[in-house]
Amino acid sequence: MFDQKGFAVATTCRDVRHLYDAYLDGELSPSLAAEVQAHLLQCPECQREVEMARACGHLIASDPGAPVLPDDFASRVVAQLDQPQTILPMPPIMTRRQRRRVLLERAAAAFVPAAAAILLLVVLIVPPGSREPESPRVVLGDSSYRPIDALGVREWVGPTFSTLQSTGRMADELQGLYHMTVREAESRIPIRPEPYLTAVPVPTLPDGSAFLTELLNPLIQVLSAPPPPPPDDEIVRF
Amino acid sequence: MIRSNDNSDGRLAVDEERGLIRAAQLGCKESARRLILSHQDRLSAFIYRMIRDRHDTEEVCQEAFLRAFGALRTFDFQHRFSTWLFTIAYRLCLNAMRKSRDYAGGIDFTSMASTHRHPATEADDDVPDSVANTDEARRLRDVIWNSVEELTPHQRAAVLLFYREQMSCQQIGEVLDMPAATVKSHLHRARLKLRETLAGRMADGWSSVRFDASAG
Repeated sequence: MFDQKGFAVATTCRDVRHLYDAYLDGELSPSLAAEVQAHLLQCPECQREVEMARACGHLIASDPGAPVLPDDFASRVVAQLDQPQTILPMPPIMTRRQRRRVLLERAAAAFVPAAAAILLLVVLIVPPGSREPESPRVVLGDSSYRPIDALGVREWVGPTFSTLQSTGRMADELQGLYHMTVREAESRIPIRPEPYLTAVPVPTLPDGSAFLTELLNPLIQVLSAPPPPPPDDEIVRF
Repeated sequence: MIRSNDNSDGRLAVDEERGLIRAAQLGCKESARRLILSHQDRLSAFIYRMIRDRHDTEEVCQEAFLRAFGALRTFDFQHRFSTWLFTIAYRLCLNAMRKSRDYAGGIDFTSMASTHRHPATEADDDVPDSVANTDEARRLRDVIWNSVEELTPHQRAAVLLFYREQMSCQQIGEVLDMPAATVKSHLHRARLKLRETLAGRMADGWSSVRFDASAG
């Protein structure tokens, strides 16, 4: 080893350690390799480490240790080359960032249908008046026409009522929005008259235009059922 | 079969390899078969060391060859066939490891390595123990391979390609799809980690043990 002025200095283990790989690979200059060699001759510790690295490389290079393929492996592969469907393209390689981006894109693409499905479930599960009235009854503050079960336990009424209240409001708003959309659609698209829409004047239907009604008919029937008013003696007012 | 130009480990000379590839591109099955024969053992060893699954090795190896020959028309003659083949195999190995969630390494490789015997060594069972076949040599072999298995996939692939395939950092970079400088860094860290790992596991007097290629 040489100092900044080019004078030879004593080679330490620390100096040599980072040169092991280059020394073993034969990448050092002859003079530097000779210095490393000289240090190894007088340092059993470094000698042991270099020998260990050398033996490790030798073993990795020469140890078979892998399962042996069948004798007819090559023939089988060649036979499969005749089948067009077995000709496979190059496998793609994706970095971690690319995989994350693909996952995000898939999640974003699935979000809208998932949200729509959840909203639809809310509308279907909590339709107005679909629950049988049980005592005691609780009436939502601003939607007195729609009773919601409070599970019969006074201590649970608060949080349960709050959840049901928000769900009921959402259902009401969705139902209103839906009816508004249907009326808007009816005013623009000629739709076959249905019993639930008898109050609305509907123009004559041309063929092929009733898909919207057919598609939404079950949902409309559930939603358009009027909620039965609960008897006054079963209502607890807040 | 004429294998006059093959090296001892089945490697083909550059000119002969190019001739076989051109013939295989034109549909010569015998040339394709020779290309497979000259690479299959090295490739299966690499795949096995990467995915650490004996059962999947043959499957991945076969798929690598099928994909290589499927895209043989696009082969760039500036590269060696082995570089191209190992690139495909490496990607398949990553996919296989990703599927089996085996990145962290949950397999006790020591037990696998100690129970496996290469067929070439079966005939050596009657031979008195040489230094290469002593119990200590087998134990050290397991220790070393176990340490290799603890490397990251990039490091493991770099080490295997460097030692077993004698590839340069440039060639390894083509296989791993990274610059040669990055390969050098992976290689350096891998060897450092191997030395540190092995330093605590090697028994005194291990340096008197010698390995040979045929020892299982």
